[in-house]
Amino acid sequence: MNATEIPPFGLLAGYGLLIIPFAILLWAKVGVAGKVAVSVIRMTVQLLFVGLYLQVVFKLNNPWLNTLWLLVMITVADISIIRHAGLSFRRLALPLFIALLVGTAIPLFYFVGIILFHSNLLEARFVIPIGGMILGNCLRADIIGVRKFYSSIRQGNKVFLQQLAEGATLSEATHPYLRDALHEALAPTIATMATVGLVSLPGMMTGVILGGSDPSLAVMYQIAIMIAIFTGTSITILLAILLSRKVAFNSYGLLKNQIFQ
Amino acid sequence: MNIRVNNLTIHYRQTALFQNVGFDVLSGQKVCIAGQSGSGKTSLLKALMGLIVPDEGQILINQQLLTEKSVWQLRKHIAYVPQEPDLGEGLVIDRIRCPFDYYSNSDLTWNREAVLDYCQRFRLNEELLDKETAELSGGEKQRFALIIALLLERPILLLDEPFSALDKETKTIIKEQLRQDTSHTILFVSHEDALLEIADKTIELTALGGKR
Repeated sequence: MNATEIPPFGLLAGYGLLIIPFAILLWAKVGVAGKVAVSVIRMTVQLLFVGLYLQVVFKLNNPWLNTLWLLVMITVADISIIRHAGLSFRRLALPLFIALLVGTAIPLFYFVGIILFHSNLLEARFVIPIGGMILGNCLRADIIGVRKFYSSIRQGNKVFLQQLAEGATLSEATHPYLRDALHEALAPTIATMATVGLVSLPGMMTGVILGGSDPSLAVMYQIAIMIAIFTGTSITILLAILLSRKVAFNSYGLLKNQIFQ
Repeated sequence: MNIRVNNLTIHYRQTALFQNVGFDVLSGQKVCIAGQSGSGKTSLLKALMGLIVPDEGQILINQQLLTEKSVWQLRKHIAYVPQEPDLGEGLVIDRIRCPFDYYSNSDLTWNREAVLDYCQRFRLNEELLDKETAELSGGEKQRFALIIALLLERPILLLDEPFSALDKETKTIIKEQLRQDTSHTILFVSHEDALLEIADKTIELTALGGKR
């Protein structure tokens, strides 16, 4: 069984629903109606383009093209993390890219190869949606974790320097900040895992159900993807901090100001 | 353990704090670093500790040049008590114990009795050890920071305004402790006449050009 189709008129009717939030925003004089209109247009155009592109990618199902698509997604995520974390692109783009690549690839290929037991690890219908879900979560967690790590050291520089003075190695002196960054970045995923199914039905599960599959299969997919996301975010944040640390501190163990934008 | 500083220049935001400063400190000496506010006294102590990288000049600790390679080794010879110490978060006793977990201090043995002994000497109530660091007053933080520095048993002691938050009686006690101390080479920054009395010599820093 396939997902029920949305006829063109149905989608137009969907836009009609926007009358309600627009009316609310105009009535409350929030002043973001223009921004919302731009966002809705952007969303539509972007998704239409992605839809067209994915149709081609899915049809060709070429492992090289699928890999390239994944690398493009990782590059966009890398740029987004650096911009949102207020860090220097030139110095930190490479270590954060490697962290995202490894953090996404390990749970993705484990998911496809071990959990789904599928022989083609680079099949488009698995690599692109599952890789995208893992990567999207890694991006969010990485912004929180990397920003927390560097801003905490910068703000608490006196305590950090005192630890160096008392004989801590760079690894020992940065460990409390690494611990706090991991905790803060993983907290949303941990909270989501604890409440999933009770507060809302998550995206993947909804997708599998709408695709016409049995809810029990949807649940199994959801469990597997939640574990993959948690694994991916943990690996990404840890690697992002460990790899970026090599370029963010000088040989004296002092944080370089140049790593901030 | 002796210290030699040659032609040291340190800038802060493109402005020279001091230039071409040079001096020698012999093993066991007590030396006061003096100078107006903004003359770079704290920066000099931090540079000796490798917490600021000088723009020019050399620092030698026991004839060994302080470089990006030797800094990690040389830090093991120096204990530093900053001005207005920030002890971070957590229990006071955990903060005091923290450096004993560092690999570089693995030759040191944690001794709670020694902590209690210093607390008594520096007029600190033992009960403070089980409180949060945030609950300490400025003077208490200063004394605990000094206790940590002494427990590390390092031959060189750098003290930045160590009396700034202490009452008269405690100042006298710590001054006597430092006066009788023969095991450390001590450099201190202080405006206190009481502490100047124990100095073997004074190094005057002048902004934009230091001298012996």
